[in-house]
Amino acid sequence: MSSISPLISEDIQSLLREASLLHEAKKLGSGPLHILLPSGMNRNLRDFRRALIGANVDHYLYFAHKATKSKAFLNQALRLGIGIDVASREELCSSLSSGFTGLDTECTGIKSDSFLQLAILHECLIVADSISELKRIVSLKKKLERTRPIPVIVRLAVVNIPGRSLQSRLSKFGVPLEELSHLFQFFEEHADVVFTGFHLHTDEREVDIRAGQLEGLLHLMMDAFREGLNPQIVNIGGGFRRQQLADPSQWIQYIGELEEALVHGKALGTWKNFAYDMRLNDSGKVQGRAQAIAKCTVPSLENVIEEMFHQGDVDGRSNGDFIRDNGFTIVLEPGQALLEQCGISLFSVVEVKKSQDSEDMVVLDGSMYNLSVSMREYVMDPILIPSKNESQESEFDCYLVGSLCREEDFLMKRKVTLKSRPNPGDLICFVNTAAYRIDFEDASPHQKTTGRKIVAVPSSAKWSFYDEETYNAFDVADRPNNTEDADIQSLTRSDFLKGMM
Amino acid sequence: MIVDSIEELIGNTPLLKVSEEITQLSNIDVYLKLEYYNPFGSVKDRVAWGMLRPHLAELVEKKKTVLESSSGNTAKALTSLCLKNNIDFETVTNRIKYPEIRGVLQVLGAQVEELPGLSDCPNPLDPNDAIQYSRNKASQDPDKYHLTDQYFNEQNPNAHYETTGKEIIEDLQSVDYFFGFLGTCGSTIGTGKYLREINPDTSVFGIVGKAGHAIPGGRTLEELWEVGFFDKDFYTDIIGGTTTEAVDGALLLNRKCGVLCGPTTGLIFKKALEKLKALDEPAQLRKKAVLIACDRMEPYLSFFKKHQPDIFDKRASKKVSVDTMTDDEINQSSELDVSELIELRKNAEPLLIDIRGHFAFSTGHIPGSLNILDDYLNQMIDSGNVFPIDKKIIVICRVGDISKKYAAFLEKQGYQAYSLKDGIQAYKESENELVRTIKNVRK
Repeated sequence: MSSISPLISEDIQSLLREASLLHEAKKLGSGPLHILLPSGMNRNLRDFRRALIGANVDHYLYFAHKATKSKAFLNQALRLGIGIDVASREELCSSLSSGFTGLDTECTGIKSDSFLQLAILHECLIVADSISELKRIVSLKKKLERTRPIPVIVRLAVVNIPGRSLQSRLSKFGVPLEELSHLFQFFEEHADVVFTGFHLHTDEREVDIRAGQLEGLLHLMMDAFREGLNPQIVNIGGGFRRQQLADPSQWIQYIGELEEALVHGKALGTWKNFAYDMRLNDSGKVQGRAQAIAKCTVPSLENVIEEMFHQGDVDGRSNGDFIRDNGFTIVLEPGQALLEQCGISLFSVVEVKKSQDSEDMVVLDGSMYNLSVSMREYVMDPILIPSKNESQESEFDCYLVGSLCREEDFLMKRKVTLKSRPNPGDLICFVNTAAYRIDFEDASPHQKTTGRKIVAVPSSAKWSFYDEETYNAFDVADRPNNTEDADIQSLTRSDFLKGMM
Repeated sequence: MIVDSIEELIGNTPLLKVSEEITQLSNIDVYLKLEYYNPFGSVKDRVAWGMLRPHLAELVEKKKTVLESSSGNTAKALTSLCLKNNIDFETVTNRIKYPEIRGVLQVLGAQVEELPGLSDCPNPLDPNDAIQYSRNKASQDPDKYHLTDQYFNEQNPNAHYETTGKEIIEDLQSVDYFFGFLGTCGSTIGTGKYLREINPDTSVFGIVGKAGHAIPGGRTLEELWEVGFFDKDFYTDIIGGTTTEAVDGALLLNRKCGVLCGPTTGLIFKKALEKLKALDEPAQLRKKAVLIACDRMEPYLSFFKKHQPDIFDKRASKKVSVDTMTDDEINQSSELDVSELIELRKNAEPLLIDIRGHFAFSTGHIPGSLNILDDYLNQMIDSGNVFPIDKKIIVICRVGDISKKYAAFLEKQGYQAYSLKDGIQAYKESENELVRTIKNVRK
């Protein structure tokens, strides 16, 4: 059986060694237990800052709330002094109640009137998705009798990459390029909103294309100046993924094996021959391989950021030099990338049974919704944490199945190898589940629980546990990495806001 | 040698015997099939012509557009052949990785459609598979398009069976080892099949990039399962190589053999020599190995630049360069703050040089300053003393960091130079007016 080993941080490795502690914690409630490690965000933020400081550009980060519903992570972000990116009225309420002010907040996505209203009242920065949304902002501002102009960034559906005849990916978001002259016209006619810059979700896999997208965005900044505007922000969005596998070549090799098996019509070792969205075309050859590979291979954050700013030719300057010359600020909205190695999920083994085709199936006390499997397949090897120390260990191949009435309720579609045959009451641990997995699809079919969350904080030689709702990073004595990071800081909020207006 | 049409020059390429000094092999002769002798510069000329020739009359008559999925040599050859025969040509590709190749296709006037790449937030609805995309496009408008479909068109391996294989046998009578790169697999399958019909013991080796090593025109082993002609069992062995090995091999051929080939040939050469070294045993008859030299080096300068940047040493081009300034020298450069600058300008006329880009300059600069970009300023100084030596020079950038470096540099050349402390930013914050000269399209 192919092994796809997850990358596991030292903190999580140390937590996994506390088997009896984990078993005790699991008894706190029924269903899965999600253990959150907010302090892991410090290191992730440091990686971003290092890369951006290396690129020598002014920058400001908004943590994308949508990656988690957990207050603990919001609290940690607040503690780290970064802003918050909210995509609904509910997320805005959540961030306000966590202590973020409107000035720390950027509102993104598609917005209802009630969301916009609250955003305006709290003087949030708004990333407008369309010209019609801008019109709604203007009329709501009047209705709310606000006097101060509202700062807005405008999201673009796409940019042209200079010198390339590139087909653009369709997006349901943002202003199409054809509407740009209307957009500029709009800002000339409406002093109620101040145009502060453009937003583009630059999530391209290929570094050169990301750099090209940024270059295209900078050309549009020039256009805006020529229209008499004075934008200062270049928002390149989120979509920065981090490496989750210990050895990505394991995944590439695994996909290669699936491809060979697919072509030769052999069994794939997955439930109902699931092939991670690969299929055979009408010539009997594999299609969809690149997407399958991309599920688990990512370019390095450092390299992406370095190349994005190093490349480009805008007004005879590289992207980074142009941004610096003009004093622009780069805004990023990382969500998942700030939550890497910040959580694990524990499920209990209910029983082990045989399928009709004699496969072993391990039934867990949770479902695919507890890992948001329909949003993104979980593929990494899970870890068995037995309740008793068994002297004999012999590897056990099995499927991990959920307990819903739906046939497709599998926690993982590939057969996995556990270190021994599990017994009821043993724990199965999935690592690196903090972003999106724990609660993006936290439905509760059969009235089952969505799982419990607790916070774990490493302190010298032991672990402290906190309630997820009331965890307060400001109270935790240990302020990890604080001294080490003194020299790597982004713009402060006040500098950022000053530059914007 | 007079030829009537360019197509006549396709094929019949020379075989170059590589000297023993280079191969270090005692019992095996190594021959390079120099495919860059083809008129459009690569092994793909045979394939393009092989796929096009049987349909030429029909394509012209029905005014059909030829459609292919290629981002390199096939597109280059098909464009040339189509345009010459008054046929429209379009190619659908994933990203073209090499700007030189994009440039060549632009010069030729090819219609290139680059698909959007993969998103880091993957969406299964995004088109990504260029082969499938071109098939769909062709089937949606069958009256307009003629799909050549090199990954599945039997004329691809067939062209090599009919020509490449035959030519090699004519020259060598029999081959023991054959090495080619695996992209569409047409050259190795077609040629290999012919060679084996003559000598069933011919070993056919396919060279690929190792996972994560993108080699021009080729694939990695895992990517081959998308390819129509790929048949793993056909090959004696499939050997993976790295981008570094590709550059190494190419440099050896470029610099020691007069073979101006690209990195793909370089990788074939490198991996073939390794393999052959292990097979180099005394035998009754000397063994013969043939390697495909697919194309030339020039379109891949950016590949060399990316994977072996030290080949291109920029420093040599300037005698005096700001890059040679030490941190100490930069830290010791003289600075002026905004109020000192304003004071100075009351009694003197210092030269104000703003080293930022033209656009940044046009959206806000200090009145009376000149815009000389940093790179260009270095060039000016390199070519001689261009500024009056008795005037103070104030260097200005956005925040006063890069200007420090240039002030130090100018000082070293004998000028009285200062950096404006904290740059334009400080000037702006001091409530002094910046000049905006950018043209407003609305007024």
